[in-house]
Amino acid sequence: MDFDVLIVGSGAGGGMAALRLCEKGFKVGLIERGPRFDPRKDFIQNYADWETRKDPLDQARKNEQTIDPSYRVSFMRNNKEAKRSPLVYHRVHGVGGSTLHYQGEAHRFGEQAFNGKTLFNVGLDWPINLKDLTPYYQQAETLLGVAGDKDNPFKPEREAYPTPAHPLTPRSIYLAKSAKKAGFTVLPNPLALPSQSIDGRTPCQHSGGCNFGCVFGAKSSIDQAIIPRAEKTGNLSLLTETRVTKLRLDNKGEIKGLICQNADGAIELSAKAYVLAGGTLETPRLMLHSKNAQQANGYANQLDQVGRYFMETIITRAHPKVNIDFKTHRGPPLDSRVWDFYYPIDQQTSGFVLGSAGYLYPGVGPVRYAERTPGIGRAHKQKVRAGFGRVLYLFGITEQIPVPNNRVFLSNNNDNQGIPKLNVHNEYSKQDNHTLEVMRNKLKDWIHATPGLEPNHFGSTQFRSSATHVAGTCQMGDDPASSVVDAFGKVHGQSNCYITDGSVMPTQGAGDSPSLTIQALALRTADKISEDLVDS
Amino acid sequence: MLTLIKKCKLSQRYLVDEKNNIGIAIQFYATLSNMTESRKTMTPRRRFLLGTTATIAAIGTAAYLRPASLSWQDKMLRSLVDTIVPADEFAGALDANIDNMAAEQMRNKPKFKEQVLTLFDGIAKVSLGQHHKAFYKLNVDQREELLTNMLKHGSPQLNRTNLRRFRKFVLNEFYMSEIAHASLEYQLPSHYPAYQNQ
Repeated sequence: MDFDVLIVGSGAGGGMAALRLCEKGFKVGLIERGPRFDPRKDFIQNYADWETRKDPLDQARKNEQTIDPSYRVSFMRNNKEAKRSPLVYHRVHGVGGSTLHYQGEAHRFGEQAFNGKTLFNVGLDWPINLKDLTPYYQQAETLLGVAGDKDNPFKPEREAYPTPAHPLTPRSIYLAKSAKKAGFTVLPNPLALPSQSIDGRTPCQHSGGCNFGCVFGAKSSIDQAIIPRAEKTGNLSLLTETRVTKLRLDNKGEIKGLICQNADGAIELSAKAYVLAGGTLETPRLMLHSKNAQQANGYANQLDQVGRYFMETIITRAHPKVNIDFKTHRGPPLDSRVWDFYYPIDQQTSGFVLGSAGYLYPGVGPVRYAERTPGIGRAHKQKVRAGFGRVLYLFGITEQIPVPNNRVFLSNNNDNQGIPKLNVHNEYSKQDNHTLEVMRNKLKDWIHATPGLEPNHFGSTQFRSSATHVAGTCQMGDDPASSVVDAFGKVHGQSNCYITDGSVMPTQGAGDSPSLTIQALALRTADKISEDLVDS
Repeated sequence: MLTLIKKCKLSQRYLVDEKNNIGIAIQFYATLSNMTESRKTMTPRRRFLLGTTATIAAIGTAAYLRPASLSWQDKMLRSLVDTIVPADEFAGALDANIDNMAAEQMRNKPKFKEQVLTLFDGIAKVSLGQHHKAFYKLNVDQREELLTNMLKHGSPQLNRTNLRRFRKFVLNEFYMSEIAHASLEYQLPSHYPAYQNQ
């Protein structure tokens, strides 16, 4: 096979970069370690027993082969202050990556997300600003058919979304009234769940099952919205169930090829340019694991920057008891948000957002809900009817302050294919803990202002770290001494390697979800690759 | 229609369905007939006696296997399923055929069958001890109370464990059914019109 560009990982960044490059006429090999799922066969919500089925989208987490938990455990043993459990990292192996299980949140970051240090003395500045990224945000939104309402006073002015906002769910309408009493505003959440058909696909059916893969193929995950377009160009070769195990480096320390493993054994692929898009953990892992005499500390790691500035999302959550029939199992799970606290309040408090969710995860589906409801007989049956569809989740979410010592590095223990796992070292700063506390208090205010809700259990990621949105580790910046890639996602000092995943993000957008930003950055990087290839 | 029959040879109970009963009876008749067929040298009187014996035996077997009335285990099964998810203004577990599903499961999974039969014995003992009646003859309040107590602090532990398992089975099967979904105003995504029309 003869490729212009090889892309490692078919998620938000890899998929979007592949499309742009294919459309520009380049031969692209898109390498994905997982399978290509058929939404009508593989996703659990096709079946009545979905709650008890093995979810293929959850296998990467369940068969954890990336993170070595023993590092965290031993760190805790030796540090009385360290109370955080090993990171639970939610992601998907499959064509589309984690967009297969995302709930479609499609946020443009605000200006302060790019210039937090300059504007508020919080976090870091990016080497680009909102203006640089806006055209790419727009392109990504159009491809995804994002549904939203442009009138959000907390966000920069913008044009209309490609499809209209979904009507708010009964839950959001109810909570909007109490939010107003508490002094803040519930607004529609922009979602890559098209409210009208695009590309002939079924529009969002409000089934609430985004997490398990959309059985309608309505959600604009990469496999549905992007890969078919790329395939139409005739320039895409999709290599599924193929894992890139190492970068083969030449005597200048540049990538010469990718060593891959698939069912047929080891193969080597090469191209003119390479894009790493395996995600915030797998990309630095692959780089650190790929060494030769010129790159003795790992690929592009002479200045020890690969793996640094790791960030999780910081979340506080409440599960109030609800006496109102919200039918939380219907509607987009994250149809609304509160952006009143999106900007840093002071140097001790990062910006954050609040929201509510009406998930239909297995724990609250009909079967599990009935099982978990104690008792038997008439009273039990009534209790199940009275409680089903009333399981509510309120949350506050913010970014973690990027610091160089929060990082990932290779473990001495290998995974089941002989590749070193990662140790994840991550501590919350004073500011992180303070923001967590402020968010928790805002949630309490909201719950107290809402008739029919009783404060019940508050949880957070403070001690039990659990994240879908992780960022940093191959940070974007102008200075190679404190970053890994430049403002276009090109690896410093390298002629043929680019990164298009969450690892390049210097900050996380104050609680906004990262996928649209990853996709916009990927389009921008793909344009840069195209220019570089043409120039060369 | 399901019946419980005793297989004398093994002194064990097996659940079989009516079709199988008839099949067994026919097979039994055919076997005896073949025996007579192979003895063409017999005297007519002897052949008559053997043939008559075979016919009577087959009729007897069929009568023995006939599902004339529900056995106590059948009644127990139905009653237990009905107590766990009774019908109220919405349909219950019997309407969703969960008793038959349990019987099917007992046929296919010996371990499940063993657990259920042990549970039956445990419930029967408690019911007789407390009320001097079979469980299925108790009124609904008594049945619910008995099972609730058994779930909370049933002794021996085995009763509690087996009841929890059986409760889980009934709830699983029932709340997967369309009958239950209708009562919850819930619909599987695969039942949405847009899914069907794709």
